[in-house]
Amino acid sequence: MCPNGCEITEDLNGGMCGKGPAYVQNEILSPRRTLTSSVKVTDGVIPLVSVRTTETIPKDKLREAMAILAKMTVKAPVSLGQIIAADFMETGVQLIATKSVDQIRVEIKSTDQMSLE
Amino acid sequence: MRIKKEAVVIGGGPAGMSAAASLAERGITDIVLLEKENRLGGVLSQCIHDGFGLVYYGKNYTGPEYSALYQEKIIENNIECITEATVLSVKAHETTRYYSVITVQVPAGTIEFETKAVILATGCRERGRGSIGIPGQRPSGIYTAGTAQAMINLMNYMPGKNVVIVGSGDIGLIMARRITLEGGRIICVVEKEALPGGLRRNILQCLEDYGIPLLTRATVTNIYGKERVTGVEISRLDEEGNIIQGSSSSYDCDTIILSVGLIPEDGMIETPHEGIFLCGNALYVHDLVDDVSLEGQIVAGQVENYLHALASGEEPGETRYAYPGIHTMRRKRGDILRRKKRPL
Repeated sequence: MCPNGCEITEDLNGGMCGKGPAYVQNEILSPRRTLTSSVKVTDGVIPLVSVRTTETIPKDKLREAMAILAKMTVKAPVSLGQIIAADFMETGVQLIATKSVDQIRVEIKSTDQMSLE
Repeated sequence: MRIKKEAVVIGGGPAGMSAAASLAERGITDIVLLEKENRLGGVLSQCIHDGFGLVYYGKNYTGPEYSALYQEKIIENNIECITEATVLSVKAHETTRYYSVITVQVPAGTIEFETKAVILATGCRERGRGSIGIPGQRPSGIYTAGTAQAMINLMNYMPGKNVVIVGSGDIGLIMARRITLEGGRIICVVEKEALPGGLRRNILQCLEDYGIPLLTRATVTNIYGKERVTGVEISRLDEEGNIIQGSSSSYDCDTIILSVGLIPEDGMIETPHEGIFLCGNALYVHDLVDDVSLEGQIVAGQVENYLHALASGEEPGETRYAYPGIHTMRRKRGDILRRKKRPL
């Protein structure tokens, strides 16, 4: 069963998009998954930015990857597609932001004159 | 004083954004989009997983990335959007047939719109414990799956540590994976039917990948815990859905996630009247957002016809719902965008 829902048979037929045989080979020998999660943001209008790996990474690296993400922070502003980690866990795959996060703006208003005498 | 518009789109999620963008592309620009949150995107903003856009774009987007495609269209088309705007009611115009009056709550007060066409793209709300009647105490720690998703993905909170999920629909499956990845433990997913409800790809990638047990023909028949959930009783069901006596077991847990159904959010319609078009999950629960985007285009076309008829003094005819026309989806033609390969 491929990620799209096609049932691929032993002779590697049954897929719709042509990527079936390659997927099955990987599933048996070295299964891979896309990692999607969230990373803490500092100075942002929201506390988290959602992230993804641009391509699949080995399935057995997911647990370690989550531990690394749990310790990461990114400073706002963050833009959609921004590279958070270039060669994530040495898989050759990028970790990118999947949404934009604006920076919190602090406005300083004028204060009334105060006498300090 | 009422603000006059040709069309008002209620809801700034994928359905509303697609419909509004399509309207603008057809030259219908005297429109406004109303959104209750402080940002567009709807539920896509919290659906940080991938699998969006596979059919329509041939790409594998995450929810927020897919949402960004349509937010871009909104900006390109210069569509007026009012956020933090909750629609309180949609009523038939007092004197002019085919027109509606919409009352909207905004932070500063209320606004009234007078419009010819209304596109209702308000999505769904989740069914809760009350509507499925799980007996037992009422401790904290019981959340619907969408709420849990917002807690984790938007607010940075974990709903709990040891979780039982009720219902094997897609949102429950997605949350099983999400909670597991974030260090929680899913005790099991319980499904009252014989077969799981979610997409096959989600059964594989959310349950089987993580060794999460799926109990079919089973349901939660009691909830324990005074202030916080401490456990559940799960009982097996027979073919008619009746509880099999003596089949109950208790499981310790601190959290229950309910994924037991979605109900269209249409309570703001006082009584259905002419000129209201439904789009997206408010019309029926879609499996794929790709279909929702397509539906938005179709609805925009129907609104265009409607406005045309009104402008030339003709009778627009029955226009209460949007029924997608014949179009190709994957391998088959269908007259409603519906899940294929679902066993009977």
